[in-house]
Parts: sequence; structure tokens; C-alpha cells
Amino acid sequence: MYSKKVFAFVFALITIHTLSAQSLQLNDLYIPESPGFVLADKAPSVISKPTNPKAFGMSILNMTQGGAVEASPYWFTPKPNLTYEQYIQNKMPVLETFNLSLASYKADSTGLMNVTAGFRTQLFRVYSKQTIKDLINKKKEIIEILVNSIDSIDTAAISKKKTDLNNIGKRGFFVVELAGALLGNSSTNSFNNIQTSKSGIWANIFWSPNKSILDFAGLVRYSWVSNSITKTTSDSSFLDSGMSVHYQQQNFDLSFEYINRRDFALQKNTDRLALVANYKLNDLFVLVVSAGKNFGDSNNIIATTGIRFCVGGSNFKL
Amino acid sequence: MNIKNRTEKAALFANAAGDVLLTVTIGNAQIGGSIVINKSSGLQIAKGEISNLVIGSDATLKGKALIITTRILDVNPNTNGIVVTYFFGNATPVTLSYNDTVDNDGDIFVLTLNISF
Repeated sequence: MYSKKVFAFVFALITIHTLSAQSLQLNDLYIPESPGFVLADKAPSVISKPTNPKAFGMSILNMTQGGAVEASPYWFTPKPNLTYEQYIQNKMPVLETFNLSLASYKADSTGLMNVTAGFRTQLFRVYSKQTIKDLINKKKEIIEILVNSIDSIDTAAISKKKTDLNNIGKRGFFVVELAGALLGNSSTNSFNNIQTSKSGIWANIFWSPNKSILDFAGLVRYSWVSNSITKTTSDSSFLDSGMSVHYQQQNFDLSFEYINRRDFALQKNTDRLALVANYKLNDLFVLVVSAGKNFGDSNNIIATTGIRFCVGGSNFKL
Repeated sequence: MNIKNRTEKAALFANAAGDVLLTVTIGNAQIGGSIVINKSSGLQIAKGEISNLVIGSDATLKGKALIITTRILDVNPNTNGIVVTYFFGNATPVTLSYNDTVDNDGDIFVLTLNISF
């Protein structure tokens, strides 16, 4: 009953905004690393990088397998007093980055649709002094070009400066992100019989040093299984902890992650070791390749190749 | 990169208390600047980030007009929403605020505000 209310509430919130978002354009749609997909092991990486959630976003696994919608309520209304400087110097952007998501996916074994509700937010984010200085200097350069002439705007120069600004913001910061999700399914594919099957809450820590080509991330996650169909032991709960190293270029991202899982029901440890590569083919498609060993002792080889795609164009960023 | 244009006009009354001051605030964590032109003389008064710009006194502004052109680049990946607020010290109304949206990240919004005193 509780899980139904959670799913219904998140669905209603996102739907209400969708209906009211008259200005929504296809290009607003992009692929997020939805917490629901992460908890369901549908995301290629267990340790995800921090993202900038859109006010409203949508992603699809593919047309028949399901998809996700997400919303960041803070950005539903204009923020007239929030200047660029305040935004980048805010060390606790909890509200600004608070993101709700609802996802569905088809279970591999049963073919039944699963639904997930999740949230993520950045509890703490700090840019290095050098990055702040560089961002503000770049902002001044952009303004100079914007107001250089009353008759025209040098869009090519602006576009270049904006790319520079984006690149500066990708390095020299430290983020602590909190996320959580509920997975639910129904044995009859009926919303009335939906039950929570797995829940989890976790923290991601991400550090991108200024003078390094590598980024570093850490994960601590507690998750538990409930309402399992076959009850042989008590419901399982897991504590995952691990870290990952990322290397990123303009259109290419490579990450290596190691996670140790403690299964409290079985009193056993298992681990996951994975190499994940993303290659941005264009604004619509990203090629994802992952390889390694998953949790557990059997059926634990990770060897997948796939394409992630988004509905709209220009917002697909690695 | 698209450019979206919008034109607005407003009538202001300068208070006798002192000079009229103008501050332009670009919200939603976007980046922008303004060009302020005296419409009557055609002279450019200021450009860039505008903060506490002295526009003139009640006596000098009566019957005059200004054109404030504000150009905003959408750099905020969270939203394509644009919000710009004009604060007029020693004038009525004190604030004028405009909301809009651009279609894509990286688009430019241009608001031309015609002010008459």
C-alpha cells in the first residue's frame, strides 16, 4: 500500500508538470542516469557521475523495454534572484539538484513490467578556487561579446566561449550526492497489485581534480529486497561499497569500477569489477560497451554492447 | 544557436528624492549583459553588467526615453527558462521583471525594453 502511494505520488507530480509544460520541446529530452535504473542494475555503471538534471526530462531504454521520466521541481518556477555566481558558489545545492524520477523496464526473466521511483540530490558541491575564477572570467568574456555591438551578435564567438565555459565546469569540483529508489512489480501486471521488491539508498562521492586527466568516485549503498515470492530465508539486505576511476575526452568516456557487496542474509561477500566505455556517436546516440564480472558466483560475466539513445537532440552529454 | 527576440515597453515616474538608478539582474543562473541607450540623443549610456547605473534626475529625465537591450545566453543545463529583472531606484515602479524561455541550451534571448519617463 505504501509503495503504491509513493509510485502514484511521483507519477502524479511528474504528470502534472508534463501537462503544464506547454513550452516543452523535443530537445529538452535527454538520458539521465535514473536512480531506478541504477538500483535495478539497468544502468551500465553502478557508480554514476553527477549530472545536471533538467526541469523535465525523459529517457527510453527502447520503445518496448520501458523508459524513465524525471523532474526537478526547483526549476519549475523562475528564480529571478539566482545569478550565475551564486549558483556556482552555492555549496549546498540540495534544492537546485533535487530530482524525482519514475522509470519502467521489462524484467528479463518474467517479461513483466517493473516500475521504479527514485530521487537524487547533491548534498554538497564545491568548485575549486581556480575553477570558480576561470568560470567567472569566461562569463565576463561572454558578456563582452554579447554587448559588443548594438547591431549584431557574434554567435560563432559566443558558441566557442560557451563550449569553453562547459569544459571549465567539468573539472575542479567535489560532489557528494544522495540517491534512493524503490523498485516495484506486479505478478498480474496490474497497478492494484504492485508491491515493492527492492529498495535502496546510497551516496556517491565524486572528485574531479583540476590537474588530473582522471576523475574519482566512491559509492556507499544500502539496499534490501522485500516481498520476495519464494521465502527461504529472511529478506536480503546488502551493503555495497566501492570506487571508480573515470577518464573522459570530448566524445569518449572510460570508467573502471570495483564494488564489494556484503549480503547480510547469506553472511557472504561478493564483488563486481567492470570496465565501461561510452562513445558519443552523435547528439542522439551513445555506444555503450561494458565488460567484467558482476556480483554473485554464477551468471556473473558482464559483456554487453548497446546503444543508448534520446528522443531529442542537443542535450546528450557525456 | 538561435536568437529569440522580444520587445517590451514601460512608463516610469522618477521620484524627486534623487537620481534614478538602474540595476539589471539576470536570474536562473544564466549569463547576460545589457546596452543602455538614451533614445532621445542616441548616445550609449552603458553596456555590460548594469549595477546602480545613474540614469539621471527627475528634472533631466522628464519626457525622455531609454532603450535597454538585454542579451542573455542560456548556459544553465537545468533549464531553458530566462528571467530578467530591472530595478529602478528612486522611480516607480521599482521593478520590472520578464520571464521567457529559449528552445535549446546555448540559445540567446534578446529583450529590448523601451522606457519612457
